[in-house]
Amino acid sequence: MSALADETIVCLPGERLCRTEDNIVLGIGTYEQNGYIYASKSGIVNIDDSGENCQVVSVHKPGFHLTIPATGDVVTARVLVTTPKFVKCAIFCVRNVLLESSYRGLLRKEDVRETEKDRVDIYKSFKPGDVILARVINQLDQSFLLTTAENELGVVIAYASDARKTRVPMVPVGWSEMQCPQTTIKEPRKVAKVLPESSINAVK
Amino acid sequence: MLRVTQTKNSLLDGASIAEELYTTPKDGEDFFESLDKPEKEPTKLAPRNTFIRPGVLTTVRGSAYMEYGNTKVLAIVAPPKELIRASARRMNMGVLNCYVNFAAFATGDLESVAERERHLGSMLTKAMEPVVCRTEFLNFQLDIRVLILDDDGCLLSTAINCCGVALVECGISTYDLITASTACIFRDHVFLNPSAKVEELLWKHRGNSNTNATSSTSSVQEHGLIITASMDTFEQIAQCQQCGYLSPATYVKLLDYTLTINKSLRQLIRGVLTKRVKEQHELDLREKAESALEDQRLEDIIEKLKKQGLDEFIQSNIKEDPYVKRI
Repeated sequence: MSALADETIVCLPGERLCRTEDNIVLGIGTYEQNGYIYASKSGIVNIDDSGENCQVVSVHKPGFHLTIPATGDVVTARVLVTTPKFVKCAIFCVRNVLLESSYRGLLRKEDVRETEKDRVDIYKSFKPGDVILARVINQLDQSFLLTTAENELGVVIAYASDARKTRVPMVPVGWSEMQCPQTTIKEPRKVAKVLPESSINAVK
Repeated sequence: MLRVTQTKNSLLDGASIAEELYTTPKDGEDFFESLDKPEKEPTKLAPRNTFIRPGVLTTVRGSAYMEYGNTKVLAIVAPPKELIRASARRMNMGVLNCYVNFAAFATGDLESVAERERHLGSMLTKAMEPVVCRTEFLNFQLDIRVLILDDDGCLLSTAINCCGVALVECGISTYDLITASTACIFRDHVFLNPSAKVEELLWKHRGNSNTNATSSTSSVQEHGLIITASMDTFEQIAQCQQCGYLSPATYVKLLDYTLTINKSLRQLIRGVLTKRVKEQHELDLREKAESALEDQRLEDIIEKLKKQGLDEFIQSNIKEDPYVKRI
């Protein structure tokens, strides 16, 4: 296996990659049929065996690849409409890939916070125009269902409602509050704990 | 496919030569005689001279250009759009739409163009549906657009081949590579990859036999056209379109011919796509190397600044305010 991993294996759709076994997981660009794993994209075969006694077989397509939000992806979205029950937003970025066209996202009241779910008020968490980080949990008929029930998810960029013209983003001053540096107005938000890039890399 | 109306457009000279060749049934006969007829059983099962190039357009993500003999086709795949009305076709699969357009100079017969476009579009959609992994983009709509630049027969099969390449180029998940080819039989002669003239001759013959129901010898004869699109990994047939009058034995024979041609076309497409992947892989590596170089440069600058001390850096960057008077 190690000898194979060094050189690049080019594959095309419909090419048989390997047999399905218990310790082999299907990655991106593959599908399973009749006990074998086949490629569904053209690209370079990538075998990742860093996980615990399992190997992920995936196909990486060089150049352009299509990104559609999948379950579990962290997405960046802009809040469009808030109602007492849910928030409608436009997803414009998936992981670190900027999308060409935005997709519809839906964030329900129950998925805003991890704790005290019944006491969540949408109007105390989001305002139209906020940029939020969220995780995709499901794909509904019409839109993607999102959640911000994590410390690292929530509002990232927000502007105070009366000082919108100045375009000075508010600064988080707690888990549930943001403050405008110019007018010192405090507004309630579901604030995301944004980790600096260096610390994320250090964890990995 | 074949044209239905047989109106002649005398205003267009270049494109209408083919039609002027046989305006009367007698001319058709003459043309058939002048045609170098293939043998009754074709010995060489090969596609026409083919040129395929994926990624011809830089403005679209997935595009492909294909020349199949004199037939020239361009296909583009747009990134999936969200379905606006999900209730229209509530399924747990994505929706695929194919649109075919003729370039204004592609065909002489302008009156039937709209009809042919619609017909080709619907048949192309049917052929492409089994190939695309439609479960991967639920409630998305995928648009494939085909522009026909030149028409010399085998339109549908060329369009299918071209679309298949464009889909792979766009990075849309497909179960397999799809290839298609055309074969027809006319007066016991099997034409593989028939040209536009042969297709039209066949169509005319068919039109005649339909109108004159009297049992003339020619109408009893086998005549027909078959288009097969196949996916070879699982030995599947994505689409099989046939028209005319064929006995089962002939049908199977023609089917086998087209499948053999599909196999050799598949080899060709595989080669093209493999080359493309390698090409793009190299580009990616080069890009990565360049960005790494840039990162290195920035890191060096930061390192230098750290040594210099931050204050000095800030001081060196502060420009003097021209409105503040110096004392």
